[in-house]
Amino acid sequence: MSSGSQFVVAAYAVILFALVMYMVIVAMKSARIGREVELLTRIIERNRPDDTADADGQDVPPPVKVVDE
Amino acid sequence: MTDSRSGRLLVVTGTATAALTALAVFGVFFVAPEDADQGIIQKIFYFHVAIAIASLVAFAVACISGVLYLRTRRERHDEVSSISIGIGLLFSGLVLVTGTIWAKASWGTWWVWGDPRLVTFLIVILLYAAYFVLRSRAEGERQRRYSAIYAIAAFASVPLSFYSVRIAQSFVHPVVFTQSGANMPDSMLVWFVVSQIAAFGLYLTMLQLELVQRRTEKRLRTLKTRVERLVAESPGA
Repeated sequence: MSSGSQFVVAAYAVILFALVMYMVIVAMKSARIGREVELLTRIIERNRPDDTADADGQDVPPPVKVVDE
Repeated sequence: MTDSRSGRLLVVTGTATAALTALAVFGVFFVAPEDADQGIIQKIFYFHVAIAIASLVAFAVACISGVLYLRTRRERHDEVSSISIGIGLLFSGLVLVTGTIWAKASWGTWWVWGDPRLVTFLIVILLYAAYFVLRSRAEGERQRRYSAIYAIAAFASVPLSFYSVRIAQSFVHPVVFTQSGANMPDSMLVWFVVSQIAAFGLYLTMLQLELVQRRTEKRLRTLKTRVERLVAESPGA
């Protein structure tokens, strides 16, 4: 490999490395969010008083009755 | 914008950017002719210049978002501004590293302190790096306001860097775009344009990705607060 092409490879390797590192950081952030969501879901499931509450802790409204006219 | 819509947009932008980057790399290395003067090291320029322009555009977006934040006080503008500066800094760092590699190959030295383009570009990077120091010093609305003002003020350094090489009489840094047009044949210009579009696509993809992630984190924080309240109010607590 000529010295010129070594410099070209080095420059593109730097760009590739930076992009890969960026993707790793984004993936780590997403994994952390996923873990926190999982933890919250478990806490909600454990503390759910009955089946009338949804995942957000809001009371689920009773089903709407359809009245035929 | 709804989550599903921004998710779809992210997939489209990301796919298009990946395809364009692959096409640009193929074109630069297998189709574009080798420069008669510089030889193979000229291939560095395709992404070096494209990323440099994309970084300056990112700083411009940050400036515009700063103005919009000061006018509307909408948090979203502050988010776009800070994310754009982060991406702009990453791109600028890459420009600096690829530039020094090119300089070593072309001039035989990593850095020339006497060159106005190199020095002013370094000043731009340091100015924008200071943005995050300032941002970490304040919170809430004050943080957003100070950040917006700084993003607008720091943008003054961008034209300084851009025109420095054109205004300065003695320089060693080559000028690619002059008033008479691009300083390269069409067979090279085509692949430079593809590289430039890919660099813009990369910026847009990163911006969307971080916006989606920040929005998710914000919702998660709200949900956490609600769950904490729910646990505290539950009969077993």
